[in-house]
Amino acid sequence: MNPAQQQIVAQWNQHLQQAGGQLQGLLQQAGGGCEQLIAQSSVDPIPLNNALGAIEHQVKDLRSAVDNAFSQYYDRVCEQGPGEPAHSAMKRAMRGFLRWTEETWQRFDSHVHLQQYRGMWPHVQQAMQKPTACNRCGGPVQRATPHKSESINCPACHTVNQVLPESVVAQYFGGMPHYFAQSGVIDRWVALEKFKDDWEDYRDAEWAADRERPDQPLHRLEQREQLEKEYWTAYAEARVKNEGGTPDDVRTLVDARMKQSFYEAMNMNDVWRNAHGLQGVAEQAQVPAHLQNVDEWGPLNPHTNPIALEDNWVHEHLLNEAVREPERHASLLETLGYRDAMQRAMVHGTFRRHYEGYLMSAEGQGLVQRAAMRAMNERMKYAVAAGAAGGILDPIEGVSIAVYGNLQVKQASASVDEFSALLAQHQMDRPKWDRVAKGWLDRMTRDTTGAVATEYSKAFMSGNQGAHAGMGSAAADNMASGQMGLQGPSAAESVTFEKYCEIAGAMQAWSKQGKDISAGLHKYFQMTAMDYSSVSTYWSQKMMADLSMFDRQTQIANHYEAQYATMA
Amino acid sequence: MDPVTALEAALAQHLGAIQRAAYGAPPGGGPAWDAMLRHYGVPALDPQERAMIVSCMHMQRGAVPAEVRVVFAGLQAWLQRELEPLRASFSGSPHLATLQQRAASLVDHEIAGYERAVGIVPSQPVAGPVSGPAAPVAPAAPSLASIFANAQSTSKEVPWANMKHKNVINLSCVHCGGPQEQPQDFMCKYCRRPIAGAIKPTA
Repeated sequence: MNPAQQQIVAQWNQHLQQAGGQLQGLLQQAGGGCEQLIAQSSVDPIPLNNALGAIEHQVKDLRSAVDNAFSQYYDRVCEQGPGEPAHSAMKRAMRGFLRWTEETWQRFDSHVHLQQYRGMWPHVQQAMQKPTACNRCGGPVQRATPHKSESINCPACHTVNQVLPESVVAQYFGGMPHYFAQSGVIDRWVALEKFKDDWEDYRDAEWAADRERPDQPLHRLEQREQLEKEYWTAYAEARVKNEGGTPDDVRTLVDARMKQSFYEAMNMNDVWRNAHGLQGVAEQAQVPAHLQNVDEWGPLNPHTNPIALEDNWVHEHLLNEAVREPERHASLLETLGYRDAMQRAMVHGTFRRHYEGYLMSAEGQGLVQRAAMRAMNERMKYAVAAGAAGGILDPIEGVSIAVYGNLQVKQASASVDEFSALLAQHQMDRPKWDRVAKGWLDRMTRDTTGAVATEYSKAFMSGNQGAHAGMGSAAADNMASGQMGLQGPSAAESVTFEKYCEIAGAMQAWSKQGKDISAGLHKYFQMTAMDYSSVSTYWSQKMMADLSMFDRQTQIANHYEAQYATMA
Repeated sequence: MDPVTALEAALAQHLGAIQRAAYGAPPGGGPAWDAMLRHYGVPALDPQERAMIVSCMHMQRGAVPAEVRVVFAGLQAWLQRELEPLRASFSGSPHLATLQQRAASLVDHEIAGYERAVGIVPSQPVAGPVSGPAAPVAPAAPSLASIFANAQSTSKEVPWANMKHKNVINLSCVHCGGPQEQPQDFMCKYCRRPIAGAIKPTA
């Protein structure tokens, strides 16, 4: 590094230092405000959550500003001579800075939430000790688990009383388990991120020294696996303990998180794959030289299948996505009619050889895009089928995901009495409903295929009522018929595209200002969050079928964001 | 002395102390500057980094600007906190408005002055991207004070604010009015019909 470059690197470090100072200043100021907010709203965490959401926007803006400035400093380095080793030094500094900002934010967020829940605790205790009276005769009713719903017979008149936890109790137990668990594992998170960054720093340093960027050796990958496992286990144990769950709940949560955060990435890593008896990602789809020009159509004969070319691209998208799960990849190959990955590679090569010119044309590009959308629908279909086969969609205490989603959406607009009657029609009381709801939520949290969320979303949309229900139900039908991205849903549009963009812009402005989104939707658009969900799903599907709408959406939403940001 | 003038005087005192300690320090800082950092709770850079900054910025004297900036940022945060309660009582006061403006640009203004004082050559402005069609102006980040005020006030505007939910419910038979007497038994004990009406499975 020459002196001019050293100076630029020093300026870069100074820039990071400055941004760090800004973050500290921001959080220092925010800390006082949060304390005040907690004192003012000691039984309701919503105002604090709204404020923290807005502060997090500012933290993220600060991080992206640093990220965006990198290339400007690096361009200046390159004007003064070779990019390395300054690039590697600047990258290392930036990784350290981004890790530090994330850690600082997590500690702040966690600390403030804990303060909120600690402040709520005396109110929670008081609410749990409040005597409960029978709704029919007024006689005292003894509660056993005041933090949960219970059905209790009145000892005097024998009437069943369904007793719900007080609002402050429900809110406390709804949020506390996550935040207490999270606060206990921040150090583990930092150690894990540092471990990952250290390797990236080393790779960059090797490159800067004119050597190849090395692959991470197996022993380091195993060390990382261990760190990830310890992190997620500590989190899950603390969370499940506070939720009152079982060891099996811990195990399933750890499995789901490990799959998403580690194993799916490792299944794309050749060092890991080779160590676990799998061929490398590229190697498994390699066609031997003597077969490279041999036609192989596999299950997609274009002479008998008029959309074989499009089908080929659907298969390509589906299989590429499945590589991160070797078992699913192997089973998908078989389902689609291939002997093995090599035959699939030959089929794809054959189509490319024969249709290369066509695929370069606008029509050919349209075909590939349509195939991507078809693959997205097919993927959902396969996920739901696999989920059903694996039992993840089995009813919970006899309640299917369709009934659960449908009742969930009705709960928002029904009074407590109306909803209890509705539950009774489905053979449920509140304790059972709460168990079922938690059961489905837990499955959704642990499901890495998206099958539960897809089925829930269909039931939720089709069960929606109110002024915009037509749009929600059209979107649900479109999803169910596998047409997402291929054609938009069709319904009487109670909210126009422009209005939808305006609402999206307004919501963005409110979230940056700490304003409550539900209050804003009600005040300015006479809508509920459920209404917005119907409208948004409808227009999102329209946009997926006509990608040019995305640009318009961004432009209109930005315009309205600026407008709503200036409103009191 | 009114609170705004008092605040201004306190600010001048802090600034004077910081500038004296920073400017009077040997290149990269010294014991007096380190004491100042401790006073404001700012961690010092490691000596190697200080030495690098001194060499790269050709500093002949004074604490490194990176540390001075963080101290000014802390002072700015303090000033803005102190100004907050004065806003309501002194709104419209030109004196307060001037101080608010000063607070907003304090760090950049003071650090530029300090760098000039210790003879640091201003760095070349970073070349911006080639100008294209004017992009929509992004709204400025809202102030923290307004964020907290919004969070507090708008949460009371939700439709369900102040709504009292009953937390004890009984089921009475829609046909005969009889109470439910067995948990999980949704057939009326008296008329033997579904207690909440005909079972209409939703899905």
